[in-house]
Amino acid sequence: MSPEDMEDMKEGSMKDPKPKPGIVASDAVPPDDSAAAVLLPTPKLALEHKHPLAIRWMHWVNFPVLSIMIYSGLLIYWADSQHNDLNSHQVYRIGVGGWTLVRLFPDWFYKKLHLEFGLASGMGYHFFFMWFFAINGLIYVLYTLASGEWRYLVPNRHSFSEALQVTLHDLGLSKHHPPKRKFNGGQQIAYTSVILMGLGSLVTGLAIYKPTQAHILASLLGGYEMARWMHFWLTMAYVGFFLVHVAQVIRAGWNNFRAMVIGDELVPYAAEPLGAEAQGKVADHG
Amino acid sequence: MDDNIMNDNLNSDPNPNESNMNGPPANGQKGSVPDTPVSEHNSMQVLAAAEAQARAKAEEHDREILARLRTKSRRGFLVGGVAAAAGLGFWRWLNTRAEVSGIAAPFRKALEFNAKLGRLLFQNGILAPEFSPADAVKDFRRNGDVGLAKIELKDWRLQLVGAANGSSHPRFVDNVAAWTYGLDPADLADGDGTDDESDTPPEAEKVHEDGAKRSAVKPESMEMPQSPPAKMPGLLLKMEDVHRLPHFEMVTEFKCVEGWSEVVHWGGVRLRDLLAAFPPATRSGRPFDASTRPDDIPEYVGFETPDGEYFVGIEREVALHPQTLLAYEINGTALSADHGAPLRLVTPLKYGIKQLKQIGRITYSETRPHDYWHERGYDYYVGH
Repeated sequence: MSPEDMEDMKEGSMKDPKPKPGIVASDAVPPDDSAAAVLLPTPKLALEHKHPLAIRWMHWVNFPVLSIMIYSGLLIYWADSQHNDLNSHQVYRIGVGGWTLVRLFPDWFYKKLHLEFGLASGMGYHFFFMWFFAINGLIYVLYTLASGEWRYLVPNRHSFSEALQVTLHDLGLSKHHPPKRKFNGGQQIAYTSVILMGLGSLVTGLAIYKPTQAHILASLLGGYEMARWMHFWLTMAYVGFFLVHVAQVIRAGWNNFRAMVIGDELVPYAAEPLGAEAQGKVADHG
Repeated sequence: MDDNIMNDNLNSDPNPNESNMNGPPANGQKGSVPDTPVSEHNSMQVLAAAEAQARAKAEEHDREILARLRTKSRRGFLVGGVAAAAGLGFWRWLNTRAEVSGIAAPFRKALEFNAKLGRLLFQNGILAPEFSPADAVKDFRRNGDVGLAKIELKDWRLQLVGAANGSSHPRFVDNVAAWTYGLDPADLADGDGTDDESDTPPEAEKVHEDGAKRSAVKPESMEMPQSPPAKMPGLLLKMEDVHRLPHFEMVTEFKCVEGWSEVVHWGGVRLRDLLAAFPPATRSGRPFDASTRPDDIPEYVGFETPDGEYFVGIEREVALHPQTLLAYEINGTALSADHGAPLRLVTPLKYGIKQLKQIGRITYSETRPHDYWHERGYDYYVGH
């Protein structure tokens, strides 16, 4: 074994004495009454195919595309923010009724980000990359449905209590971690929600883009201003998702991250090899 | 020979330790089997050898796994790196294309594509939601004053270019562009004739103008002739000609491209009624009939302010839409100067940037009229 391999295994927490997320010592050796089987050394490592190629591509394509959509959206909002004192209805704010805590966004925010004011270029980007965002998202949904991958992603009746356990565990408030699966309840809820949010962005975006031709849609959403409000807060929710997602990926470690690039994850060897369709025994985050 | 025994033992007996306690097998029955019993010592040796073999196998297996992992990682990250570089290259390429009307060509093409799709799906029968007059704002926001000039109503005329059989009409003049609106001719289409004549509150206009300047848009030529063309035959209509058309009111939401919107109570005449009263020359040569042959007229209608500083173009189907107005009232009272007195364009099918204030000239046009914000990087269509 080369030193890198050893490093790999450490990073994959294969030899970590403390059970890290997902590695349960007893999982490595299946229970067996036969004494010989217990005594004889078995392989320690296995590769598990975790993320299909198509999903990896769509995940990584979405990252820059959504970033550009958020960036160009900021340029568009800026045109509104520059009239902070003029906007009587104040769609983009934190506040209730006639009371506003903060208007989104203040001037310093744009300055901090070193953005260059440009409503025209903002709309140019937005109405170009919206196609990439929509088509990539549509293919993702169709693929997960056709491949059966949705079974791992869609929450079930246990997901919510499990999500609570995972959250308490990850915040260090509880030692108990629910059984490991490919995606835990928290992930199922998060990953399904973010797809629904994507759909929400497309629907509210269309209502803003064609408020007359799609006026029924706009009315169903509560009107033009409400559609704008939703479009804005969905974007804020993406940013929230992104921050938690990245934090969890960092927590879960290199082995988990690498699986999103190469597809395979290093897992403890199991006597009966897990089929490609079998659920993973290693939990991950992110 | 030893190897065979070992394997036999392993394969046939799941528990060699126990079999030892059963004592030696019956003597002399099987000549091929050694008649000495497998000793405790031998059993240990067998086990140790088996363990060593299994460990070697296990380690070999793990080495193979790690080798496969290395190969996959190398390939995966290499492909990922190339894809990321290609993506970055694509982004750079997009942003460095030559500009077409103030925006890099690929984005201009996308806007034109979206517009084409929008026009394909457009249905003239779909109406924007209307509100109750009580929902309308009392003081409609002012935004932008480009092209606004102080004009006395008695000096105002509506230049109409492209009407069919114009020359036989009593309002026909052989050069509508010669009309000066009581303005100093030096102020007409000379580039900066209007700013100091506007009624618009300065703070409102400044933000907007400032915004336009900050948008990194290179000012282009205005596509305006420095002096009016020698001759532009057409009709020179008076306000009474407009008032003769059916009065129409609507309460619709006015939407600014900057992101704000207000419900406004408009009064005026429908543009389609003007088109019916002063029809454009048709393609077929037959009289214009909007209900049966809406495609028989030129594809665009252009609008310009009297001084030629602000100008827009709208598509035929937008001009014929029942909610596209030539408005002369807000909340039942005549338009104020900063809202475009005496006549402005209003349509819930476009952002405010198309809803030109203070119309001086209307042109039926087969080619796309020039458009102020389009030249500054915006979408031409901006259609709702």
